Amino acid sequence: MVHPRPRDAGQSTVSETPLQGPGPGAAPSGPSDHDLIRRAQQGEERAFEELVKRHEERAIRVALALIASREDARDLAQEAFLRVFRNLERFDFQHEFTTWLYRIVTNLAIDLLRKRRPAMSTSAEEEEEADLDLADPEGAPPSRSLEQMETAERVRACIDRLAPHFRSVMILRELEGLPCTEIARIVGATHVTVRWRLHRGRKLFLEEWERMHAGDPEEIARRPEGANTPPEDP
Amino acid sequence: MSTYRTSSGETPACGETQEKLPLFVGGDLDGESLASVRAHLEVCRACAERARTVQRAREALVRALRSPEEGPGGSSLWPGVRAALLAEGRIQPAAVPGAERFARTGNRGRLRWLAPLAAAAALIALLQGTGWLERAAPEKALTPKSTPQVAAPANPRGGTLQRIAPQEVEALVPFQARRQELGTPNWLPGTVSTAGFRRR
Repeated sequence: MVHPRPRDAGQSTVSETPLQGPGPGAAPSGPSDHDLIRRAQQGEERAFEELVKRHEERAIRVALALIASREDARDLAQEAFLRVFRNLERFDFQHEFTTWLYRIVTNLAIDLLRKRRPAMSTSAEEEEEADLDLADPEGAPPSRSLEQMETAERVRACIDRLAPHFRSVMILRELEGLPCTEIARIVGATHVTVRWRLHRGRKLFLEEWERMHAGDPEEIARRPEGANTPPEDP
Repeated sequence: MSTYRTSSGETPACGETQEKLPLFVGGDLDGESLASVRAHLEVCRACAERARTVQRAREALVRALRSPEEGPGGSSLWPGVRAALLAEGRIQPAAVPGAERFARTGNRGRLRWLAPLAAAAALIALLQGTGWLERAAPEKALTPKSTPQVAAPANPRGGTLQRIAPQEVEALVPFQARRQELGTPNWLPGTVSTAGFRRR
């Protein structure tokens, strides 16, 4: 067996650096989330308003990535803030507000996704086989180039084939750039489970992506010679 | 050729490496796993190419998720949230701009019993301002204005009484006079027998 020269192989080294997501964002100027919550608990409406305005974009963004309908995402985010308000007295100041908000948004989204596919089993393996396209066909504005739009639609279709619990972990990681430990707190699972879901979710996404691009001439042209041959041990 | 070896002295297989690629491309590997994958990709062209494919797929995903068109856009949620909270009675409409308060969660209705008292106090203050109390109770006219005392006339049906405004009394007078003309006793059901007062 002939191994490639390290220099040749080195040219194809892949960066494992994660793409940084919007993440929790820079600390907002002004009062902290916890201060706003304390003031809201004392009955100050303006404090709650500020809390909503500070985090609404984040809530809609995650909801939209999960359920793919702009209108539903806004409704869902609004419901999340109402739930926040109704349970404001029970907020645990040992945690970040965003952890709580993400948890409410993802739980609402997962509930909605499960309602949309009532015939599906909750078994992960069966959900993986689901063939539902939940993308909003009216969601794309005309300004986007055709190619970008097509890619986005393909990505969407691949995401929509993932079971909700894989989807939520992937979106919190890839879109929000949250670490697995934080995601574990949000989804109420262990760190190991989150890593497994992330691994499995990315793998399933890749399989779907490749299946979708199987006949794509652009993708075939990108493949190096012998790319389809089974990998060998070094 | 330098080959990375794990602590057990084995060279990681391509299968093992490729199994870890989904976590590797996202920067989610660490320690020995990361080192072993890096080392393998240095020497295995097929796996390095596979890693590029995995990375391209992930980049497409991330780009699509983070594209501006996928952003939230639109107006603030706050007006809708506020309207819903108002409808649920969890916040009160602002009487004075900038002085909005809402009922504290879990304390709803705690001070509601004060509302009738506040309304009664406001009504008395209003009547005092118009001087109607003095006109309605001429027998107490000598009472100093600062401490008006109002005695309610006896009511044959009992119950709690509530003051009504003078113009309402005037509106009742012709009706009562008509009853007297017809000889209908004032205390029969449906009659107005408590001039100046109304049953609550």
